Amino acid sequence: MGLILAQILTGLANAGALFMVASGLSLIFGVTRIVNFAHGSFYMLGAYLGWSLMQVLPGSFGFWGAILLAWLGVGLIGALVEIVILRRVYAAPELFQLVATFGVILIVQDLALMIWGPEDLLGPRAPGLRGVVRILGEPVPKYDLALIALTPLVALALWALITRTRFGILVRAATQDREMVGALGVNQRWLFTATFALGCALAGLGGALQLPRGGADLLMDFTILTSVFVVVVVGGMGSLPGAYLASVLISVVGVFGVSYLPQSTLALTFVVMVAVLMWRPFGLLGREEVAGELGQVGPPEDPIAPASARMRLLVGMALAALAALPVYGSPFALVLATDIAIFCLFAASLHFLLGQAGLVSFGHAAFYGGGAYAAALLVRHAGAPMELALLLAPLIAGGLALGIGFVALRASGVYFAMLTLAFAQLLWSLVWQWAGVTGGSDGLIGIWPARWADSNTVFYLLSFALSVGGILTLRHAAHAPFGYALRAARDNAPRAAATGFDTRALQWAAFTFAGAMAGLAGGLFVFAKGSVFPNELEIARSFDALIVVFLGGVKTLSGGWVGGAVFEAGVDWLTRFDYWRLALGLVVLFIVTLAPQGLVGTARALWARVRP
Amino acid sequence: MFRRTFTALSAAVLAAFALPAAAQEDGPIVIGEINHFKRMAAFAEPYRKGYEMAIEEVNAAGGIAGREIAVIYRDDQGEPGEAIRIAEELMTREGAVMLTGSILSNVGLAISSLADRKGWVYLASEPLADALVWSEGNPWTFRLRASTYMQAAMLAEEAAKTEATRFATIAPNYAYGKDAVAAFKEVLTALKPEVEFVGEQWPQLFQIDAGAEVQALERAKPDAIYNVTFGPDLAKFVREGADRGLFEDRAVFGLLSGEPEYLEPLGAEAPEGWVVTGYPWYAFEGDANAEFVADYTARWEESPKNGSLVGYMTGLSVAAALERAESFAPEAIRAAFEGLSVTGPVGEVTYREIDNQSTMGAFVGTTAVEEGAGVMVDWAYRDGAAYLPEDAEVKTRRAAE
Amino acid sequence: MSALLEVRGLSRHYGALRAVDGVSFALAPGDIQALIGPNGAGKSTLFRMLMGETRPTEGEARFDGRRITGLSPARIARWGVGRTFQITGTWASMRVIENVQTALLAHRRRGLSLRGFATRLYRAEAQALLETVGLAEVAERPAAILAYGDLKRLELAIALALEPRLLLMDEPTAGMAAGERGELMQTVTRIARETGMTILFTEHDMDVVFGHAERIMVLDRGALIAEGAPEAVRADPRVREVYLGGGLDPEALADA
Repeated sequence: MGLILAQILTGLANAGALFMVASGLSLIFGVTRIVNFAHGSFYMLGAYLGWSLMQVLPGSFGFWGAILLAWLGVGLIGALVEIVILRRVYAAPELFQLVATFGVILIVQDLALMIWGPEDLLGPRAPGLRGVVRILGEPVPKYDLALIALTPLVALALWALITRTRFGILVRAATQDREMVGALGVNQRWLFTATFALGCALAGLGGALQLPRGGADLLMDFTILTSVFVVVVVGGMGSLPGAYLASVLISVVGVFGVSYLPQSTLALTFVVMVAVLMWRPFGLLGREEVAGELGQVGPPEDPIAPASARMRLLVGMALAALAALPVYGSPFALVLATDIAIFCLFAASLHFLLGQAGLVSFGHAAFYGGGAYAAALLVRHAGAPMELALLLAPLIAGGLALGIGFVALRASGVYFAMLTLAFAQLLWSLVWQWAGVTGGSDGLIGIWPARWADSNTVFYLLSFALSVGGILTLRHAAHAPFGYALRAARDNAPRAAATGFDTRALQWAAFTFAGAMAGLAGGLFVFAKGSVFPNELEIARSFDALIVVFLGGVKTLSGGWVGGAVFEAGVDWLTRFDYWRLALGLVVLFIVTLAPQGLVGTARALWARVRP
Repeated sequence: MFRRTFTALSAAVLAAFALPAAAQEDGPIVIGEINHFKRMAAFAEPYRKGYEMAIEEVNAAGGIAGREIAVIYRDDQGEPGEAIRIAEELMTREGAVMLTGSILSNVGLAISSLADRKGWVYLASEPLADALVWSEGNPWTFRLRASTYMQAAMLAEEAAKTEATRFATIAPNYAYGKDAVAAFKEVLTALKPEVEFVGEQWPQLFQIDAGAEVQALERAKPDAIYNVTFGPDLAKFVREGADRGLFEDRAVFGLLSGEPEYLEPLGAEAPEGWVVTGYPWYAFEGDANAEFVADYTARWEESPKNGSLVGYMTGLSVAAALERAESFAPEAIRAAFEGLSVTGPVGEVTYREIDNQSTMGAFVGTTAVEEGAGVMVDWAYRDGAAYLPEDAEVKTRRAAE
Repeated sequence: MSALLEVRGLSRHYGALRAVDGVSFALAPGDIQALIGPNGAGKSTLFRMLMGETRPTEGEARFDGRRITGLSPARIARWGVGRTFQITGTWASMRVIENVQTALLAHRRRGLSLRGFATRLYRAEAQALLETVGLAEVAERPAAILAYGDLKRLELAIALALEPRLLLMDEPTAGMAAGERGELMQTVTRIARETGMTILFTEHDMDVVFGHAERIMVLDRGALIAEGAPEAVRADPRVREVYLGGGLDPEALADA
């Protein structure tokens, strides 16, 4: 009995930081529709700032003062980020802002390394709250009790702010209907700034408050991000009580999981998330309207047309030039070009999903990594030849997409995105845990191309042919009846349905098709690298693809592969420098603010302007 | 639009690709080092400093066959896929004669697989995975640091000496954690068959729920605990465990917990009385270890970490192999590594012919807090050679070869 | 002659609110019928239920003798029920003619096809439909830049591309200039007479209603209160009461 109570108290204490970070993310999304990937970075900044302040401020007053100052400080940094960067990209297609937040992540990572050094910092203890009290004989840390008391207070203060003040009324109005706020004559810019700053400040508060239970380290930005996404989605986007409920639920379930299913630590939260979303597709307390439509805001793209004969000739010549790379390129050039070709196919497959079907997936790595693992497992366990593995990889990845799509497409908008993320994570934890078959984190190695394709030259030509073939197939699909039907469902789903299109079946087909193409890229990847590890299923991989698609330009046909090529080549070049993350982050922000329609979209707009 | 981007891109691609690749015969001997300098900066930086110091010493003493050694350090973001590409670039474009590096086991395994495929020499300096030299071992991959198995065996030996029979384990939920627990169990059970394992906890790497883990361990009522967590997980575990009295009257064995990388951040809250593997740089007197610590501190104006020692030994190993090799062709370097002996701060270390594992050992001691900092006391250096399985057993583990 | 559309006791309740409450009526093939009522009477809810976009609380609708209640909009559309929306639905990222070509693709069940270039399919047919609605001149323009009245016509062309036997039009002329309204309705009724298509439409403009509908139904607070020929409906005291109470200019009814 005592133990169970103590476990529940542990769960409640864990919920504290999670709630603060999640409520901030939820608030920001509700008002500005920004999915703030950098939210973990603000959490990390809160921890580091709090740590530094605690070194100089003495005693109890100093400790709590440091937390308050960290809260304020991170809020100010958030306001700065909003004013300097995000404000310039609100007019861009929705979700484009997440590219900017990705840039912020990279910059914060390097700045934190520069300022605070690489070593983990141990969090100072809260004065007077060291040690435990015995509750029913079980030790419970005093600071846990403080957190358990403090979290509802923060939640109540937030609730009062949202329900009792003019700012709160505007926030709620904006969460429900953004255009209405504009119509009310409210200065939307400052409302957005204030909300973003408040959300970041909450993340910073969470980071500073968890210091006595751990500390500050350079990996904490990413480690909290997935849990926070889960909490926000399970609670319901934009719902503060939902965020509280979900953080408690996830934390308490987590604590019992640790005790009674110790191997479950990887998968449990995602299982909970999928279960909740299948039962309530908009989270525990979420509402459908807040789910939003993603990816298709702003002016519609220009109508597309099949390439002219002249264009085909030019493209054919360019492809021939690239295919001739072995003649004039160095051996390493072939390796780099192989990697770029594979990544371009991966990016193009996500681009198809986003651009044509309007479906934003945060878990596209499930199919890339899924295809990679399919190929690797076939080779390792079934002794399949490369040719067969490459043939089956897209089929298996497509089958995976068929299954995941069936469930995920019950939801829409950001909930769909989050469900794809949850499934990708589930797959990742399956691979990670099932070490007997998948090798776990040690992966599967020694999977090399068949003898005939063994040389860098032949494998480059093979990858190039399959990648270009895949990209051209995706491109043709956009021009084919399928593409028009998809865009009909995306532009106006009720109209498409009333015209006889089964919109869900179309989206399902697109999801499967994109998944299969990503699987082909994954299969090629395995043979290019000779090995596969769970990294290829990680969130970071999904984000990579998402970022390049937005960088390239969603509302263009070539955005996917152009973004992929530029990004992959750029990263390869930049990692030669010491502070390459800072540099890459700045480059990303530079592109985001100067070219909000993405590289291709902006190039096209410029071309249209200079063309006589 | 399509055409413009395409031509611009092709031009860029051409410019970047057409650079010539040439290894110069009279320039420095190039070594390619691949590591996670950003992602694991706390570990990779001391390693790099130790490595650089060794190379500086070798070059100051005239280099190898009159040529200097130049190490190209490249960041792989902690991604195996990137590491593979960088390895190709280092070997084919930068003219490197061999590869070194990696901390993460997965990256190490990826590079070793490539090395085997291409016939390139790879010295896996820091990754601990047993698979590198055993189940996935290959003739081209050598490993310097004492492996998971060796370090776990050292602790198991200590554990067998105690009265404890009920053991609980806590290890991060990935290959390293699992290998470390399996090796500890294997060796301890062999030494002391009556032990039982009453609980196993598997927190997610860097996402430990320390309070819950401590409660779960307490529930199992063990006599002793075997800890494999490290980094921020260790800090949280130690703090929660100490607060909740988990470590009172219990023997605790901590793999790597005594390495300065992990012990130093804990400051005065470092656990006391844990039996750990680590690196007591502060305690050496009048030997080669003390000399290395003094030189390192003078060179970098900071105290060494365990990684510094590994980096330094990496540099010495590379130099020794090149010195011994008849030429700088991969096959010659590979042959030179087999059975190669290197003398460093910890004494003589040999790269075993049977499995390419070096016999570099580790320091085993007991933790204590002195002057507000965690240290190892009652420590001793354990030679790695004594903690490897019998040759016949090694051969079955290295079955793939 | 049996009914093409038969509605029996169709209801939709939102908690205590009875948006549509036990509506029953029937349409014979070739009927051109208007559904009128004040704002909030339940017209759009009734349409959404007929089209499968909203699930009824009770009751059923049968089309051509087969039950359509509970089917998806796409199924109902394929069975021959066309529909235009109150807030005009077209596909903004396509050219005008491509909107119609896409509707023709749907009609031919080629939505999942990867064969060929969609923009080259059914061009002549699409062009003919655009001519019917008077948009032939702007066929190659992006739909996004059309004026509102033209969008209404484009949507009509999309709906007609399905060769529906029943066409549901939710306020087909809302937002159009007065001159355009009659023109559009004449086009629709002419096609209906030529092809035998049945039409049910809602409309606020009483000129349009009384000028084009053969029969009129009046919905008030979810219930049908009158149904019949225009003259009979116009004379119905309850209808006059509803419109006076509803705040609509009674002159509109008197003058029509």
